[in-house]
Amino acid sequence: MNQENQTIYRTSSARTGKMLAIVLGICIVGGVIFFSMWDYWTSYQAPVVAKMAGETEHAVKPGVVTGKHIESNLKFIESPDFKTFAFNALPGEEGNNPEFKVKSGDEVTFSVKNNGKSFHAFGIVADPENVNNVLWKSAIAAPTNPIKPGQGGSVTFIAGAPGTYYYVCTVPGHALQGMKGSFIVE
Amino acid sequence: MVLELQKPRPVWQIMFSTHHTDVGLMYLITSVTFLFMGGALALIIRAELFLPGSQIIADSMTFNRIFTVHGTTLIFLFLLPFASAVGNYFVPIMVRYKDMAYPKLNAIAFWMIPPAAALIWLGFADFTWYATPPYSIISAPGPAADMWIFGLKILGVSSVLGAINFIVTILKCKHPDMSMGQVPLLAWSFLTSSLIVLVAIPTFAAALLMLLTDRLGVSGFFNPAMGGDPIAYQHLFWFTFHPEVYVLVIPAIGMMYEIIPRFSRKPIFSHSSGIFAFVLLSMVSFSSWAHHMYATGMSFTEKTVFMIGTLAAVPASAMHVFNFVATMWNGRIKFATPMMWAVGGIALFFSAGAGGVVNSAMPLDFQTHDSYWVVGHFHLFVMGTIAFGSIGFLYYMFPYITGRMYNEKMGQVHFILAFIGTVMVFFTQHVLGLYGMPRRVFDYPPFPEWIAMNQIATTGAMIIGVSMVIFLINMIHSSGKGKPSDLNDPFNLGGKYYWPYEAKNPHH
Repeated sequence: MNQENQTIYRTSSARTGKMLAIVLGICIVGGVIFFSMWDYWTSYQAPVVAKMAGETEHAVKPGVVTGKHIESNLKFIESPDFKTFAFNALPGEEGNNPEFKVKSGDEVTFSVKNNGKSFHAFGIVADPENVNNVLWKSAIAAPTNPIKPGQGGSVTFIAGAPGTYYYVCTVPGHALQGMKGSFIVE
Repeated sequence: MVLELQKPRPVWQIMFSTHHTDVGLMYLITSVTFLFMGGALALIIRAELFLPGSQIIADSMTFNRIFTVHGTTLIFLFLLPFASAVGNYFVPIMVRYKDMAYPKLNAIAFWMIPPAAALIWLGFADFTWYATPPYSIISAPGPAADMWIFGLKILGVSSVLGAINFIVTILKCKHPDMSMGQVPLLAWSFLTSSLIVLVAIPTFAAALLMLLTDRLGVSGFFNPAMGGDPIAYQHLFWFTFHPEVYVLVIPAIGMMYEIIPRFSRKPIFSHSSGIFAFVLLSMVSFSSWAHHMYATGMSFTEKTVFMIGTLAAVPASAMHVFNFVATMWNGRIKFATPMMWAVGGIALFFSAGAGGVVNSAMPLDFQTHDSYWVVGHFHLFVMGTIAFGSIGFLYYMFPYITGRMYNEKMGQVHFILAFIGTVMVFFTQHVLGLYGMPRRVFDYPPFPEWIAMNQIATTGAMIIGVSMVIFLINMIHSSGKGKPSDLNDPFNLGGKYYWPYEAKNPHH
């Protein structure tokens, strides 16, 4: 690139100005969109949040409330060696983990009493291996604030979409040790 | 070697051209614009931390959004495009080819950046540039988080396309008379960093898709409530982004290899050791990713492996530093602006590397994990080394691009202020971390030591801010009104430059 026989073109003020105008123009247009929509971009939760809360799959459909009311009592009991947990009676005995059948839209009341020696909590879940997602606000107490021995509680809720669900002790591990029963919504 | 103007053309012709210098110019303008935008966010962050409590930012979520976009912008929209700009300008010239191997692909790789940048900036996500689950899955609000994921996805594709282009240009399009050993070190740096990109980026691209499907609730790869493992994301993320550190630093070292021999008026001390160190660095970059995760409960054996893998980067880095020092030794050094930035960058590279060596020891890492030490350490690398090398190279390219000379005095003031500011911010942050201040906090308890050190850091950041304003004025003014430069010897170094790529192809 010999300068003697080649014209050198150098950037001029006009070209620099044009370049700046383009860059600033993009920034100003972008800035207007940016500030006018600042809150919109953080306005909704990821779809997974609703799915994890069970609100989409098992939700109560509006307008299906039947007006029928069902009441039931359950007792938390434990085997003497603490290896088996159950509701009402130990496995093999009469009345162990009774099965409930209700209609979608029925109003259900559960009254529970802790007849055992450890802490328990109640809830209805879709998957007994995942006791964190209690459906339909059916929880009585919680693993962080459980029902103490001798105490009890009750809850009233509306059964949601048809399917097979489980009433369980929501304290981790207890459902796997037997504290679960079927709750069938038709 | 006028890089911008072969002949005067309308601006739109430059914008939509596929010629390597035009695409390089677009990369350059974009990246420098984002340098200022990301830097402005940094100043807001530092101003907020000047005192404990909430001063100028209303709530912690806004603060999180600001530092997320600060990090994402400066890494993906300043450093990477800046390296691409330099590569676009210099690699084809250095391998003596008329253009990049795939000019249209080159332009496509550039034009993916503006939409990605728009997604990142408009959304302003709040989950830090790590996007670590489970927060990024179940708590980060949309659509900002999804926009960030798509933006990064596009940038990943852009990087891979750029990397393919550089590799093919260097390996297949170099002049047949030129052996690989004669390819200049700047081009070698692009070859090695492009190879890292090709191997590393797909992992993160996969992780981003998994993050998106996890957010939609159709999968649970990283969602503990659905049986997933958040630590798996960290492995995938760091398998990409530890090598990515080298993707950023290798071109910056390559730029210093361009500047230092010129301004020392000596050939590079050892060309082959530079090549060897680049190749070595690109290999060991894959052996250290889990050193970001010592505190996640890995076994002692795993930690030992990654500790040794981390230390393996030291010899290669030290070879570069020795090479620089030996090149400058006994040279007739001219401390013009580019040389000052390069030498400052080497000094801070050494400091950052020393901190990294200390930090790779697991016992200390447990002390410094998630503290301001980490912030100080990696900023010293990205700002002190990579940005210093890049800004120095921008000054070096300036006369070739515009045909005009920048203002030397303003350039030197810029360097001195930026150097003082960088030391004040990031050295202080190391100590602040040892005093226990956690990173990513919006407010902190009013311990006198913490307040004092935060105020030193904020003052330093403001000094950098002032220097950057000087830089901006210098660039804008000089590109229109600067005095015409002598394109054969813009820096008045006298004699012949050492142009390895013109050895068989002198001024024709």
